[in-house]
Amino acid sequence: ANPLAPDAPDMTQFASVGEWLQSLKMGRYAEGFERGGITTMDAVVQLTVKELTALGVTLVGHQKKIMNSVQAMRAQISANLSE
Amino acid sequence: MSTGSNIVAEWLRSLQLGRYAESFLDNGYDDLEICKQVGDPDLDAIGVFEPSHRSRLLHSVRALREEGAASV
Repeated sequence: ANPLAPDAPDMTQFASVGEWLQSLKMGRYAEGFERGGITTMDAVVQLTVKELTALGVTLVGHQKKIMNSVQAMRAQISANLSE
Repeated sequence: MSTGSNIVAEWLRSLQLGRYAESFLDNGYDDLEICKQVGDPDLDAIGVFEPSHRSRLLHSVRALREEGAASV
């Protein structure tokens, strides 16, 4: 799916890391993110796969899902900046 | 999420395990490359607990890896 399509969800709207994880059905990792210091969406957009493992996300499917969302956010942020 | 035309849904249907398609996709297992990496912890997260279903899936995962299959 194209993150910049008009009907794509606005990934930059989440108020908290927990809310964003819930939206991905990945709420089980909220505590691990918190403990690892990933407490703001600014920190989320800079995440790497390597860091995910340290945050307790070891399943490849979950890593893929989370990184897809992170990349969509990055794309939307840079699109917003160039507007 | 629609599971109709997804390759993973098709693969699961070919194993008579189509009921798990939505959960596979929800958990990020949405192409066969990533399904080649499925093991017991992945099945726990996806919610496949029936032993015969698990062994059918793991057997097929092994076949995917060995054949390097890009299609079902």
